[in-house]
Amino acid sequence: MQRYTRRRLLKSGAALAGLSALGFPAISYGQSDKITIGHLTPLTGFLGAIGSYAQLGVKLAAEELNQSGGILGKQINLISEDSVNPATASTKAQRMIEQDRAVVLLGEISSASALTIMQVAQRNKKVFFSTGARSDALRGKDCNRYAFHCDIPNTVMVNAVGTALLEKGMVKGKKFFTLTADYIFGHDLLNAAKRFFAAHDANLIGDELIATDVTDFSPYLLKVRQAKPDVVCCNLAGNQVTTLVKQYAEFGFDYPLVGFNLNTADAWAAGPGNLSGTWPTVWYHTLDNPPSKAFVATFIKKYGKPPENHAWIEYVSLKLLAQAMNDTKSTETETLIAYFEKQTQFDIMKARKAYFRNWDHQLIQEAYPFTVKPKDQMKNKWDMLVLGPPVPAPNAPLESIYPTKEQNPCQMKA
Amino acid sequence: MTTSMGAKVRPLLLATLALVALPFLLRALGLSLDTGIWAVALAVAAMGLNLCIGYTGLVSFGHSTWFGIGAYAAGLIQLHWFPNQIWLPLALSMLVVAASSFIVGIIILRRRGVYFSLLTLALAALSYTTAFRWSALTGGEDGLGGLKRGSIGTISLDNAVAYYTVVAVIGLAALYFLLRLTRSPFGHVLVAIRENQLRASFQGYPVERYKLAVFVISAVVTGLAGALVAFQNYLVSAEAVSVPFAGELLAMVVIGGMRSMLGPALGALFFVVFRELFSIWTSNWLLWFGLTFVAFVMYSPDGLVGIWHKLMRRFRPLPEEAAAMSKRKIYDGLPLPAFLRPDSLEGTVLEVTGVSKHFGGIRAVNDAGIKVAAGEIHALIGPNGAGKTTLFNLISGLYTPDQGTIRLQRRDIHGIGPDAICHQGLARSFQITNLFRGLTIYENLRLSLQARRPMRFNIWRDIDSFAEIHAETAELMKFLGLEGIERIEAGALSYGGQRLVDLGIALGSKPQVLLLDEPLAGLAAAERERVSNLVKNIAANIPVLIVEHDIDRVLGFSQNVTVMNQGEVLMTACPQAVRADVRVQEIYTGKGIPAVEHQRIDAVAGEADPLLRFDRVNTFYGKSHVLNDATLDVREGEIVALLGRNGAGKSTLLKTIAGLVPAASGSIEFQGKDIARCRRRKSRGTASAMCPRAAACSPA
Amino acid sequence: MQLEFLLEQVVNGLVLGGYYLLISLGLSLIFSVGGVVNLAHGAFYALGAYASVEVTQYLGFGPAVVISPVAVAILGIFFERFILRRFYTADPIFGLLVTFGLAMVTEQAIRIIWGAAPLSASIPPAFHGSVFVGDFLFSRYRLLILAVVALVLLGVWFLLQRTSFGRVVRAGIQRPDMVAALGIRLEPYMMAVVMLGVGMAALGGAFFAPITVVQPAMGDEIITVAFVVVVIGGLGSFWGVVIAALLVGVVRGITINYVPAAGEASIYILMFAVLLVRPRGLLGERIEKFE
Repeated sequence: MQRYTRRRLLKSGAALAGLSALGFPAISYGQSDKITIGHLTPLTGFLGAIGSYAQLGVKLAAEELNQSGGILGKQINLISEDSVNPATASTKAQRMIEQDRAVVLLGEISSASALTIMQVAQRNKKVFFSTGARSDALRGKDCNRYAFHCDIPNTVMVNAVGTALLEKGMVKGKKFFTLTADYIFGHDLLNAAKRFFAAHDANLIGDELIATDVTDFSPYLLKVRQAKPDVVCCNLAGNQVTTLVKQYAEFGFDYPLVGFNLNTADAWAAGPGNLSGTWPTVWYHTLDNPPSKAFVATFIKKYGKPPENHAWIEYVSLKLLAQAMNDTKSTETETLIAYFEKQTQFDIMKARKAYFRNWDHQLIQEAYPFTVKPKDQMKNKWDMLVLGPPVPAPNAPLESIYPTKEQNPCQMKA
Repeated sequence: MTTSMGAKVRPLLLATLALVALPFLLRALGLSLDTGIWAVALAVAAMGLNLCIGYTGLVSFGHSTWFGIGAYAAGLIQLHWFPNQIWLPLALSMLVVAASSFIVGIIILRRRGVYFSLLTLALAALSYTTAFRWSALTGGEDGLGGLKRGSIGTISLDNAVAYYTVVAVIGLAALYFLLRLTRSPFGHVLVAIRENQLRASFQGYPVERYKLAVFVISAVVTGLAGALVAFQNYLVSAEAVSVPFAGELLAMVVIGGMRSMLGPALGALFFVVFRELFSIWTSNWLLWFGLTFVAFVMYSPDGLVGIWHKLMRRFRPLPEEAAAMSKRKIYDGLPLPAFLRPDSLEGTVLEVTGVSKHFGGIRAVNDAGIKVAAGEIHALIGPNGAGKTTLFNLISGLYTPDQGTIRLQRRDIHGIGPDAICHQGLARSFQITNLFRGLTIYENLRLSLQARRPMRFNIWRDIDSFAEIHAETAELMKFLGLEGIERIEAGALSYGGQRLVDLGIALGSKPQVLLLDEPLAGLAAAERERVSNLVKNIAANIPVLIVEHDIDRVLGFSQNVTVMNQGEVLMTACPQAVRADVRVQEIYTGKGIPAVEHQRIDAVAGEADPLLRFDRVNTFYGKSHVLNDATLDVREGEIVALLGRNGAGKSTLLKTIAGLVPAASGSIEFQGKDIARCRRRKSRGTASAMCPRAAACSPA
Repeated sequence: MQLEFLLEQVVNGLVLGGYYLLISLGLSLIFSVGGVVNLAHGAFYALGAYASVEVTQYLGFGPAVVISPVAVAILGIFFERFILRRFYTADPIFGLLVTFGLAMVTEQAIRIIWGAAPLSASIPPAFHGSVFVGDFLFSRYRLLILAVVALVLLGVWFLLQRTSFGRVVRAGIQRPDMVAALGIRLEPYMMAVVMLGVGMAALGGAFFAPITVVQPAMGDEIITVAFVVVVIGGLGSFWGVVIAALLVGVVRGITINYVPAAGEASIYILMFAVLLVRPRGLLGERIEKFE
């Protein structure tokens, strides 16, 4: 027995030595001549397609920043990994802070994973830029002062589409039928939608809660037809939107289909000629804004395809962070938080500048509704969407489409 | 035969060492202590799962359900009732898991094998859907957040080192519990169930209760791991109950090695480290993991531990079997050990009356009756298909009779299930050897001796501490003539030895009446003599009902004979009367030759060359030497009839010709060509068309 | 009105059930003849979809739905010969595990080759829109699928019941040793059955590609339903699978009509219920090694 354990010890010792000699890329042990930024995004799973775009965007930003001198004169060491699921995201975030000495955390698209990373950030007192998560609760009942939210929340998406619909006269007195993803995100979206309908005199005549693993919508589509609404409204997420859109086109219903949530990649996946109606987005590559177009050109040159909206958000977010650090000449958490809470204005390659609202840390920016080009007008598979005018209108206050304190209360725990 | 102290303590020592070394190993790999906590918790979960898979043979695809329920329960209990504490939530969550797994287990353990596994798969899918959608309770997709780790005295468990220590200690405690469990009587019965569930139930074990118990215990251990992870992440998310996670747990068990206690722990470590490391380097880590998993299943199903053992055997080969067998000591003529002798029996011990059973349209047994009296050897004879084994199966509880009664010592025992019947005092051996092949001879017998004692449900005490049972096992082995070869696996024994063990298993149940189903079948002459003497010795104290085809021998030592034919009892009388009875002779050798339409012309037949030559062929079924230098010629135009007693080898000869069973030596020639070597090819098929007994034809 | 709505769901459920049947039948055949639980069946479905999308780009939809099942069936040859064959006589758990691992590997391989972003595929223009048959609404495309399924079903039934190939296969399910005694090697038949089974899954994938998301994990969606159908129908029974598929489709439709939240859970509950009452499924045969 003694022999056995000693032999095992020797074996593990040899293994240890051998492995250390290999040298692992992730080991940085806090190199003081670089600034380490931890980035997490889902690369596997149902958000994987979008996550990979997000990663491309943030990497491009890091490269550009490094080429122009980095942050505070030091090069950026970007550690970008697959967050996999909420539990792994939490473990990795912890590791990035503890072992890799990341000064800030960045990323995430899944609201659930974002929530866990927010909690890690709070425990470790580090700033976390939640770039792609849209759940209102993250900025509301689950908020904390270390997290900053860059993407538009559910309420804004509803308002973006809603405003466009109002102008087309598709809201007042009209009958709406909603198809909602039966989980928190979907419920959130539905609540925001209900508020909108109530405020604008629209009728919600039916709502179907659809499980997130549903791939066949025919029973629900039958119910839609039975209800005979004026507008059909989609509150689904991820792949389900694409599937619904395809099957909606398959049945060829007349009722216009609109939706309150869509990622550009999901739209492209629906295929030419299948998508129709009005949808929201935070940004699209056809946006007529010179710095935006320059970004698009650089991205296409480097990656061979146009950036999806999450690539843009990540790109912009990292640039914002860099700007903050350079301006305050610091990477300290408290300094950064104070800087953002001053509601400093940033140029995010849109018509109007954006800023972080101090009581919920939401990035206040414009959003856009979009409609879909008919198939024969598409120049290529990405040339699918027609961006509408920005919401809110240029003369309206930027915050008018964002949830108010009453609607989405947030108590920042210190 | 006891296990050394070293071997018992080794897993615990190894585990402690590994737990101490782990943080340093992780550091060297660039991973955090969080990963280590994950690994330890998953190791506990995997070991819990392995209790079902490796030890009991219940393959569960749904253990993620218990992991999740443990996590959610702990989280909810903390959030609603005991904020800032983790000890009570941990303890109470285990109770919740126990209760829910008990209810679910009762439902799904009614099915076995693949159906059971598929039910667990459905369970996992169902619980994921529920966790995701019942967001009021579980937090849905966002999960149940805001959990706290609490503290011990002044040490906050938010500190990674502190929590790691807590998890490591709990892990060691769980390991200790599992080790004690597997060394206990209960644990040994689990292995018996895995090896041969049927025989275990005939030994008197209420197998269903054991399966339910292990299912619940396994679920609780996995649930505990789930709760620990919940507090580690300060969150429970639905991923914990997903089907992919259940698959990952299974992968850990398989890759680590399901035949050892620590194997799954190793598999868990492998998985966690693999995932962490590879997902840093490449987003294709799951591909590599999948390939590794497939490679393990295909080439090393015993996992990493299996590979380790194979390597070890290179350096320290197992002792030679022949040498081990030579240690056998045979004592002849020993009386039945005292503890096996039932309290004095009188009169009719076993009474079977008017028993009938039909299967579909076939009446296997019709209105059969037998009485076995104290001190008697009662023979049951009859041609094939007479219903003898079916009657045995009815008496011993494998089937329930449609009609009739079966009484043991005036107690009704029909329809109560084999394990209950065994407890009533009836044991049987099997026609086709029915042992625990992978277990040692010693263990095979010890299980029988343990089965009727209350301690068979004990989950804590080491079996080595039950000295009485060990003494009894030793004495039984000596009686059977198996002393000295205790550690040999039953499957490695000679055929004769296996038949002895089969008999011994039945005997070990301390029966008041013993049913022996062809105990002499396939034995060589010397062994037949020994076993017959053994039976006579036994019968001095325990009445025996014996089915045998060695008519001469069995009529020689039995006091009473019952003859069955076509499911009915023809007569019951003393051996001489039976031997002399015309009806009995008729059913064995037929009533005469019916007129044949076309007469064969002898002259022509004698000259033709043999079409089929069967020359000195030897055939084995496993250990049993069935055809012994068999020789046969069949000429063109001939009809050759093969006659002989049961077990003479007639069917085997036909099967050897047809190629269903390979001939070990000798030649088979058809039309001059040697067909002994080609198996089931078309040419051979056209050479012989075989029409088997009616029962073997397909409905198509 | 309510009754009509319900009927419409039932009819729609039958259509969907027909589609499940295509996938499940192949699974059931492999299960019954080979004794292996093929958890990789969804992977073949996914490969069929991907192959079909690729071919459509060059040759159009028609050729695509013919070529892609054939291509996947050829892949099935390698699958049977080098992987599945080792597990026919082994403990069923290993067949389960190896196909589970294979499903994982295939999903990742698809992701590496085609990327994680879903591919877009559209319904051929001729089949857009819906029609009314009587009072019931059908999408044209689904009627096409239904027609294809009916044809395939007829073909498989004919193959199994009226050809000598089918006789051997059915005998092989019941008594493989007897088949061997008749001088017939079962291996080529096994291979043919596997090819047929995965080919049908691929056909299902090819047809469903335009109305679902073509992404690497799409196999997962279909595999659980397929299993539920096979288990409910019972192993070794052709009509069992047919009835079970239709039943599952209809039960789902009805549940969604009345209790939408339980729509997906309903089929698992159905499976539990059936297994507890009729452990071998509705029409299943007793296959010793699975018990």
